[in-house]
Amino acid sequence: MTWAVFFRTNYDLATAVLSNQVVKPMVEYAGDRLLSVADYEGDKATRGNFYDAVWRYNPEFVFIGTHGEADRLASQEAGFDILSLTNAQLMNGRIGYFVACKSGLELAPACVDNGAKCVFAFNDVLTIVTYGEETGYKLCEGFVECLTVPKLMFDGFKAMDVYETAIREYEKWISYWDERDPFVADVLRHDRDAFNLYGSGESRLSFSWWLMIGLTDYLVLIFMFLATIWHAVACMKVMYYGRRP
Amino acid sequence: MESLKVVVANALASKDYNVIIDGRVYSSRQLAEEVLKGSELGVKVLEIVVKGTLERYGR
Repeated sequence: MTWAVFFRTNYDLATAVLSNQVVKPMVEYAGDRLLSVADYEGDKATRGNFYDAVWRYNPEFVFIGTHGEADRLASQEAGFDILSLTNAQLMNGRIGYFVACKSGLELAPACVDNGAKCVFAFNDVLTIVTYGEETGYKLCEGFVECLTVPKLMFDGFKAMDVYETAIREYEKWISYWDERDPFVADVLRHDRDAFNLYGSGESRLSFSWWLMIGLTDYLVLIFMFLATIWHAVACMKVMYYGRRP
Repeated sequence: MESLKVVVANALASKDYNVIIDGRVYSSRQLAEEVLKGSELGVKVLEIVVKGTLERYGR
């Protein structure tokens, strides 16, 4: 089974907004693609649970959405990190996506050096523009769309194709906001420039066997439908032309 | 430089956004104050605006 694990902290306004508006759609998307998903939200987004998830599920895809520094990603527990340079080897053989500030500077390259297939990460402060508190700090149009592009990995695309798609998505929304509010466009430009792919662009997730089973069901149904029509036509031909002597 | 800060700060102050930057949420007015103060955050915002403007008009 292809496992995807999600770690999303939720201990302040910034992480709450990120968790609910960016990460949640990705979790749902992974589930819709019939990947096996483990979602560690809020209090469950801890270092201990990260170790546990790695050993228990051996995930191919690891998503971490939290506050970050160049060399670490914060956990829900104050003073502890989910991932840092000291345990980067846990990313060996995996694909990662870190939605956090600056983790592309040192942590993502360290993960790749320790055997990660590839990591999507930001090498500068991640900046997001939202509407007011009355909207629940709803992200301005384009930010969710751009930040969730890596979900295309769940469709089996290669990492480089996903990265290029993300850049095109940023460009599309930059053009959109250039005509409406240049400040938002400038923030998107900043995020686009900070977004990077580390490791092999040829990396992709294994095909989900659950998806194959699901598709097989559909294929069987289509076959049965066509076979029924064929038999019905055959019977009608006998009735219309009569049996051959 | 000071006039640049004022221009950017005034533009920010007129907005009704909130910005999540470096892990914290700031209103547009708070960001405008940071730009005027010349804090590390304010310089970062200036950098974002200047780079964006140069790219937009360089096309």
